[in-house]
Amino acid sequence: MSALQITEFGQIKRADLRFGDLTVLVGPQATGKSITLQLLKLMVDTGAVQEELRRYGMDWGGKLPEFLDLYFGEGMRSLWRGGKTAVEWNGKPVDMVALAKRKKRTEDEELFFIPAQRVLALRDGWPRPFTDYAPGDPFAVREFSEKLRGLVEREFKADSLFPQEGRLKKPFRDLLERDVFSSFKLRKDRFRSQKRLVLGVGDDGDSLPYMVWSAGQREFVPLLLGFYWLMPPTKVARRAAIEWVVIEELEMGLHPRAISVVILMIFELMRRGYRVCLSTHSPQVLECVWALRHLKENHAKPEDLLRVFDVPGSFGMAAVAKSALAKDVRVFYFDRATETTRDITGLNPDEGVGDGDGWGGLAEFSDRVSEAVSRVMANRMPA
Amino acid sequence: MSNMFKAAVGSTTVLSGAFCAGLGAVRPADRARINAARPRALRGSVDLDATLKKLLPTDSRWDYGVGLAESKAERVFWIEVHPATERGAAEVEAKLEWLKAWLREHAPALNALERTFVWIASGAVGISPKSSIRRRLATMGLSFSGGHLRLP
Repeated sequence: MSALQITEFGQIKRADLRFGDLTVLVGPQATGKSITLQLLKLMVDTGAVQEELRRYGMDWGGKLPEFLDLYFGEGMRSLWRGGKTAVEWNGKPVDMVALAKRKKRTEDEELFFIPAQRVLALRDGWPRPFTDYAPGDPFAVREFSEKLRGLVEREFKADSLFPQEGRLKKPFRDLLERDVFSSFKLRKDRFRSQKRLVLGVGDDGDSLPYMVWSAGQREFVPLLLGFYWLMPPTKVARRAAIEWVVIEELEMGLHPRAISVVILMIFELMRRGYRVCLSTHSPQVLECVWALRHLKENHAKPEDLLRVFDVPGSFGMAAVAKSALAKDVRVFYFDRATETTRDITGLNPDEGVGDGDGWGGLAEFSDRVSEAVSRVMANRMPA
Repeated sequence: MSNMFKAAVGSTTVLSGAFCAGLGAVRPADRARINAARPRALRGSVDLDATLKKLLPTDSRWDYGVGLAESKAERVFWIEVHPATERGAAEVEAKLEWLKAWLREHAPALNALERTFVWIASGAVGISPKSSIRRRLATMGLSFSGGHLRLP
């Protein structure tokens, strides 16, 4: 099992994470979830990250502070607290100072990162190249953006991006049509000589450019392209050597129905053999994990899990659900009060976790609402 | 020290002899699920289910009433220990309806006290904290406390 231990790094005093097939990080803002996921990327892909930075002319002189500023973003050298900071990857101490020195690329990239700032990946409806960003912008955002650019420019010869038969199975296309795109089609287009992505109604309908898309559509399209990147149109289930997928805040801008579809698509990634790590502020994600755990423990059938998502148990979807029920899922809470992490995989409502409930604070508001209403209703309504 | 709860139980004919000090009326297995932050504030307890079993054998009887002193008054915690499943929720809902009707018709003194209706899960919790079941029960005045209840 892969494990990451972090001591005195940024806002984290101590983090101890053991990754499952699906790992979910929850906790209040600015408790270190994103830093942890970016650090995971660095641990898995040190050589590939440095190679990418070099390819675009970045030079950090082998110095750790400069490297941290380049990789995590401007000003992030302050994450490092000298001798106090320690990182262990799979039980072995990592010498970060030595890591920052130029390292030859020895292995292919293994982790694909979909950052929270994914909406920045499109400008005027077209993915931005790596060099379009400022040197102080986080590597994860720049790299994601560049990968989408490569995908759209090189891999999609036809103009239609959604629906797209080669990448997603029909049940997923149907769900996306029902819960995200409605009757809209996503396609490549040209405005004068500028390439762009547009939403259109029907094959010959009016084109809606990026600036008139809804906030949810602007959030979802980069996410969809990320999924496309991970689902090559071949019989090979996974992209090259990629083993890990990180998705930050998958819920951003999405209606709960769309969130459900994205969770099912994550199950599909897991079925393909990817290990997925999420950070989330969505109680719905934890509800799914909670359901998954209870259904798994009670030997539920795939159709029981699909019932959670209100989808028919077609053959393809049943396989996705069956695979999800066999996976190892873990949940970690980033506690602001103690600046440590806690394994809350059990999601037991009885086990409070500091400034929240057993769900890492994501259900405490619901609990308070129910409590307040029941208290008043017990005494005010005619008995 | 006044004890409105004890007096109210005493004035309820069918509960004659049912009053116990502290959490004495609560069965040991259920008592393990209840923790009183201020044990000296406990004003006694009554086991409705056992006391009314002979009189009302087929009714959906509620489990317990526990009196607790608050800063200005006394509050009765009406406690039901029951499986926390969707089916269990329907059963608890029926029990709550029964309790309200019973208080209204047979125990006006208890009915006049401030109260909190609480459902403690008797096993693993099978209802999500975000569930609409909990919201529906809340509108009926029922609070769900998970596997344990901490009396304030």
